[in-house]
Amino acid sequence: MIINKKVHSVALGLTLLLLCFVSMSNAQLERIQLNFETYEVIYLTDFVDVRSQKLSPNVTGISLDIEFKDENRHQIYIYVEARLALLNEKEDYIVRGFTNKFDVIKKKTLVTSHFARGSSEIYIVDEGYQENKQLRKKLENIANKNPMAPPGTYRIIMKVYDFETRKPIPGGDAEKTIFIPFSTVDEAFVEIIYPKTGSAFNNLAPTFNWTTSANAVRVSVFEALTNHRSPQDALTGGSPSLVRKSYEDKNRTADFSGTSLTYPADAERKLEQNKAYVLRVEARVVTNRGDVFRPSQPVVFRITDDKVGQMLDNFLNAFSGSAFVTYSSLRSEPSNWVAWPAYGNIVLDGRTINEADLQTLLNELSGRSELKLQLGIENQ
Amino acid sequence: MKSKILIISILALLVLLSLGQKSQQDKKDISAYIIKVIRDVDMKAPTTGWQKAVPLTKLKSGYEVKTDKGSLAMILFADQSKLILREKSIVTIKGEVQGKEILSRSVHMDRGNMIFNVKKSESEQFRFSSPISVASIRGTEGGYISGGNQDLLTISEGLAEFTNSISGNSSIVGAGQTGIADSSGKLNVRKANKKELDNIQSGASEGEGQQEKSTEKGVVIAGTIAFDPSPTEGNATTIKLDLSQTDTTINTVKFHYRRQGATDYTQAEMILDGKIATSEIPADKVLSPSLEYYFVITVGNQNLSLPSGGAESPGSVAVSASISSSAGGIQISATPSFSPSPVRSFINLDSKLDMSNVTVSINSVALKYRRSGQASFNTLDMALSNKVATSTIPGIDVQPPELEYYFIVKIADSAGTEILLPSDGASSPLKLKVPPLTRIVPAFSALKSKSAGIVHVNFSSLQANVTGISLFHKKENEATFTELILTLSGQVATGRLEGDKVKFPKLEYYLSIKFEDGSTVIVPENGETAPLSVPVQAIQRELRIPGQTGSLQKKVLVLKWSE
Repeated sequence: MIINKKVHSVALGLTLLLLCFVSMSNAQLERIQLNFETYEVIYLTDFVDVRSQKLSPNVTGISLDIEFKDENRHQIYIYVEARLALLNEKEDYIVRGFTNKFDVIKKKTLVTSHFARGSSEIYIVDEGYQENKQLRKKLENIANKNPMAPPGTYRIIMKVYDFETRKPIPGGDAEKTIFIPFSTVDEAFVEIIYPKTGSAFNNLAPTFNWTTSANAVRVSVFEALTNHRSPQDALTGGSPSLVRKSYEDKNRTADFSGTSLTYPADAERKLEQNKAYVLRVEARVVTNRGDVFRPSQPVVFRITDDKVGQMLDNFLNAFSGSAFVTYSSLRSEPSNWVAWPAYGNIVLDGRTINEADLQTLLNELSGRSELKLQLGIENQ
Repeated sequence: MKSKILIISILALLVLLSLGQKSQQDKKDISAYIIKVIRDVDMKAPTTGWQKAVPLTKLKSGYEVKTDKGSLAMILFADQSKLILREKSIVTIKGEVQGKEILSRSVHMDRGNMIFNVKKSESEQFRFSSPISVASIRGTEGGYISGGNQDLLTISEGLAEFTNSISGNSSIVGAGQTGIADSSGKLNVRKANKKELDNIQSGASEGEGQQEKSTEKGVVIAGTIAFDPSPTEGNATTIKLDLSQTDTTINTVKFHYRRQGATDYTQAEMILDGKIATSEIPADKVLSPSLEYYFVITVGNQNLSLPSGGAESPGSVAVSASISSSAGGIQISATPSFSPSPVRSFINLDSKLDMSNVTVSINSVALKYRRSGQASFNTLDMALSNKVATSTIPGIDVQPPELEYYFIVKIADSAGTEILLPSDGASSPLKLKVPPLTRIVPAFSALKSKSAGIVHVNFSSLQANVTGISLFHKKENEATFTELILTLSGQVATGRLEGDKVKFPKLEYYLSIKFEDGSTVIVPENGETAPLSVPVQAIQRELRIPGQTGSLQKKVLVLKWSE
């Protein structure tokens, strides 16, 4: 019962939302502008007061600006129509109707609070009010499962009528189309295609690729320090070496477009040899509650020439048996092991050796046909 | 004997009473007692130096025990498990107990030979280990020998799990079987031979206090053989075997001999005087061209052959025969002989020509000899006394494989008649076999892989001036030898082997000895193709390479191998 009431309220709220902009004048309009911020996900419950089944007075970002050229009092009303094309369906109206008559001197901005509970200044009149019951029912069913605006193309049409002449005022048309791609923020995803986790680069400007369902992404790279035991540690434990956005943000233009990014030369911090980094790409979803970011799985990549690993590859590839199998699985996905000087020195019989010593040793061992090699892996 | 058994029993009882006073609950190092010591047994705590061990010496975890040549130690644990450590062995004891329960127990033997009798325990195994193998024992009697590049585990009762530490291969060794683990990683199990089972049996007997049997195993039998007089056909001679170098009690010595080419050996019981055994070979058994012989020496209840090959590979001594020749109507007959007998290479060789049956007067006798391959004969004017001519061939000329010789006898007549013995002289001289030089054996310090070692060569037994000795050595499977020129000091040559030349499992070598006449002798003579070898103790090497996985995990790659 409660659910039904909520669903009914949500659907009604959506209707109210779409009918909430009304204006009227018998003179020439200087300007009419329908303001409706573009969202990708809309939380309907934020727009509707469930108890009163009216538009919530706290909704921001929605307004209608009306401005006449003269300073006279104008009596106007507004025709409002809301149309919707759900994904893969034809567009149809949801509601359409007229507001009551109201006065405007020079200009007026209508906001949602004008239609909030208890407001009596402007409202939709019963005369001429039409509601697409079939579509409303469909919306109720969808909202029953998910209290978000269902994905689709929404169009709001408004016309300002002169009350005296009952005719539209020239230039008094306003229209706004919004495409809602997601029914929830969870539908936005990013998957990093390259690099694969554990990749090693020997250049300082690797290119990252990803695929995403979102319109915009934020790319971040964090350095993994020796005290980080997981990629998540790196993401939360330090400042990023790079943040780039494919969307405008706070008067800053988009840094890039598309689904790839080459590590830029002007990054906050340059990549360095023998360091590990964690790449994260986040899908940006614009909602009426603000931006929500849906992160990809973090991907670790290393900047290293992996000389020691190559030495070991050459040496151990000549072996068969368990040592080779163990090493191969260590080096390949998902382990992608690389020798890592930051974790300590190469030690032979308790004595530190350098890469040249190691190569000499492996060369010597390679020549021993009788060599019985045991290979183990210690976790630390 | 009874009194010894009684003493051992009392000692064992005291040990058990002492052990019984231990805490029943605390976790402590295992303890054991040395309850029997024969000759030189030393022990060492982890923080102290070596000191003499005496009966009832208490051993704790980490203590080492070693036995010298001819020595023995018997170690008893609280559960009556017993170890008998034979000569030239070194072990480390480790373990933990909680109350009466043994949590762990192991004995590591770097080298040596031990007999064990381990009592069965439900909860724990007794582990024996060496650089090559590990044996897990429970309720088992047997023997464990670690000898450089090969370990042997023989089980007389029960069974054991035997593992080659180098390859990781394991196998069960059951009663009556011997497991063999070698430094190449191989592990084989075969039927134990009588010698191996007797070794365990005799070890067990030693554990009961029969001291006179304690040194019978693991002892190198070495002796000096001499025939006196030098064997000449038809004349009795005495064989003397001097076993003074052998540090053990000899029960009996039997002498087996035959004429060269004969099928059967004649056996003679030798008379033992201390460690010198003698026996006379009757005249009719001394037949040219040589006698072949071997000895069977009884030590305890073991019979050991000398040379070790026994009947299959006997020693040999030349038997001189009488030779006759004539010239100018004068015929003489004489018998040459040489001493020492058998001939030893690079030892001065006394020669004698007995012409006592010659009736004519003899003016002088010359010995003409040459080494094999020499073009001309050397001449030695022999001293003449009562128709017996003597001379000494210098050791430098007594070189293998043989000496060729003949005599020139000048008759004291007016014609100055010279008679060659044998009559063809230089064209068909007599031949005397000279054995290869084998007695010069280098002594190495305990060689450990990758570590420098010291080598000494005592050449005092050579009666020839040595001007240089080189040790040619190489690692196993290495193609070429490296020459190490030893430093001569008196009768000893010394050198230092560099660590990079010392490698597990063994060092192959031969000696090159230079003499003042410019000649060079290789020891052993085919050393370049069949070198001798000395075991090199393996060291476990470890290479650690820290690394990072793709999920930032620290994983260290650890490579281990033996060398």
